[in-house]
Amino acid sequence: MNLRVIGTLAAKDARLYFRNRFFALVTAMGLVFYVAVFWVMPSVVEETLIIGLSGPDAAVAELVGQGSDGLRFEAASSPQALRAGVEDGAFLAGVLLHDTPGAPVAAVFAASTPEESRQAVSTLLTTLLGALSGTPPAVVLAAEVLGPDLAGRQVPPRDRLRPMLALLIVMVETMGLATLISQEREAGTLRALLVTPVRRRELFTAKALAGTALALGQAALFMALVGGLASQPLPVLVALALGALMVTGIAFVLATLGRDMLSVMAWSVVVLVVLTIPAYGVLFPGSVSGWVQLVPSYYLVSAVDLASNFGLGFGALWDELAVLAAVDVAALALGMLALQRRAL
Amino acid sequence: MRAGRIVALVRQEAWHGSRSVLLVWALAAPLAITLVINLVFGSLLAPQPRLGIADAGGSALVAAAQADASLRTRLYADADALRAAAEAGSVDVGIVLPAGFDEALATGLPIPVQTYVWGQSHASDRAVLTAAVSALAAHVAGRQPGAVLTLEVVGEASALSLRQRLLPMLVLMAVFLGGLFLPATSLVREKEHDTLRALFVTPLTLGELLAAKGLFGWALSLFMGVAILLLNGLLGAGPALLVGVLALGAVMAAGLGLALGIVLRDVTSLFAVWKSGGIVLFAPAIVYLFPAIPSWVARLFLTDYFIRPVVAVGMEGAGLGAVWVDLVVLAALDVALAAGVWALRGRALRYAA
Repeated sequence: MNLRVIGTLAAKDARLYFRNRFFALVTAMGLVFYVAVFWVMPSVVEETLIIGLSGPDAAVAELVGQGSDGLRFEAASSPQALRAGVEDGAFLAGVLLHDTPGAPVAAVFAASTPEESRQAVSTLLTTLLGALSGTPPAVVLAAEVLGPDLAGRQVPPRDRLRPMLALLIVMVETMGLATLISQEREAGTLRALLVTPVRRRELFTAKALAGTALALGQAALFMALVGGLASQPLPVLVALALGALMVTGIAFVLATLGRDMLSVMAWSVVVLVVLTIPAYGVLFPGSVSGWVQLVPSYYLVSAVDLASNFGLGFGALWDELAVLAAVDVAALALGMLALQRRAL
Repeated sequence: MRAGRIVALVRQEAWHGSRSVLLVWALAAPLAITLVINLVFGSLLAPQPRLGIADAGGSALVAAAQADASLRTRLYADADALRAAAEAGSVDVGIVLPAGFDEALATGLPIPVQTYVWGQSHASDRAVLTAAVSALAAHVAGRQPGAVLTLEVVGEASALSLRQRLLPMLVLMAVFLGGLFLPATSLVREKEHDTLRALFVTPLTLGELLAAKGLFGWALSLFMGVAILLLNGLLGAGPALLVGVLALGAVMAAGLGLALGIVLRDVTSLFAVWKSGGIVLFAPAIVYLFPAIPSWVARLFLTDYFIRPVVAVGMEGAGLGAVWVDLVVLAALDVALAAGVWALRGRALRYAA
């Protein structure tokens, strides 16, 4: 393969991509928006139930002492203050305590609290108040925590969103590359190149290089701007590079699916939606079924998540990266085959 | 402006548009995403903590847990399957009930229960589930609760469930995907193929052309908005008012589409705008998804004046009195957009001349 030819073709593609200054400007603006979305997202996770208390000092003090990792009791100055605190959201619920043993205790909830949450907190309070009154527990739970114990130090939503935004940036570039190839296919310039000394392999390599560099460059810049490279930068960059290669292969396939650029864009959005699904598993951990591991982007978001949010290195990520590399080989081979058969 | 010519153009748009993959996508995407949300994330969108149970002896605690609306209970064949589920985050807490568990409870002695806790579960969920298991076991053992609670509810506000928080994104997609893209791509493609030039040698006026393309986008947008609200069971709350809000939102979508179609030279530029500007359209939906983001952030985006009344009427049961300010702003934005399109029309005309 002639590296000079490949470099020239890749540079031509990059120039073509940004030839339209408006396009270049909005690409930069898009990156700014993604960064802005990240910084607007919540940076802390509120995982403690705060229950307000009002009543005799001794009873309030006893219950305040029963707080735990996920539960905190706070004294309110009066029943009115307690109700106001519940209504404005300072307390998830309130308890009006009294001196009479065995008498019902009033639990105060805001109308905005879902019924299920009211029931859950009521159960919690009933169990706790019962234990305080001397009722022995029916069961003793012997707990084993599986995986890293994040209680009290959960990953903030914006950090969980980071792999998804990086994936979106990479994927959107896929659409760009696919439409670019589609345009060349429509205009016949791809075929025209083959009457020059350029070989097919060089042509494909140049396209892959340009697409990967564009996708990786933007995703890496985004990660740098949102602190995604602060922990384990190298594994994050390697994962993004492998992800960029993967989407380049997918872009090759997409470019051959439609008759024209609009069809290619439409197909690209379908693929984008499917490839985004695993990112929801990072955003809402434990929410998606095991079959999302069949979606290749799972290994990209998982590796980026584990490296940037949990500080895992190559030793722990090798299986994700190996799968991603295998997917890259398959996607690029399939993409080149599709281009060769349908675009040239 | 002649209505007959506009109708003929709308029919032509519908005929050509119906063969476009983009139109099919604009129609199918919101429906597909509704399906995906319900299939893939259906259980995610419930607010209850998740309890897993591996029951070896037919304990009555299982039925009691399943009947408890404050929990989401999943059953597993054995302790290994439960452990794997807790490790994968499919449940927050899992308990293993051995054979003879209920009989052991009847002795009155505290029974040890093997429990698996997912490391990423929230501390609050662990606290709730621990208390719930204890209360359920006490119930199975036939014990009276140690304390009696009476409930008092204050305030009038109603909260949106997690599932409801995702719906604004769906509604925005349904209304803006087709409503904006169809007129925009139609105009841009006409420019690219030089068919605008050909159209203006006929008696057709630019106003009629824009009205026809806008009308088609508006109708598609309104149809998709109604369909998505129907599919998600939101149209029953105030159908007339909701359709009115959707109609105003559809004007915004079609207006933006026309403006982009007039201003942009080619589909590449349109794609670039979508790539960067799409997030601006959907930003209010992100604010709904994450209540910790201050709601004023959403007010900075045009589409919030459309989606806020939809949420208020469709999900919170509000009436016209609660949303009229947003509707006035939305209508004003529509008028401004229409005026902008009219002012910009010269660019398309100059191009065609």
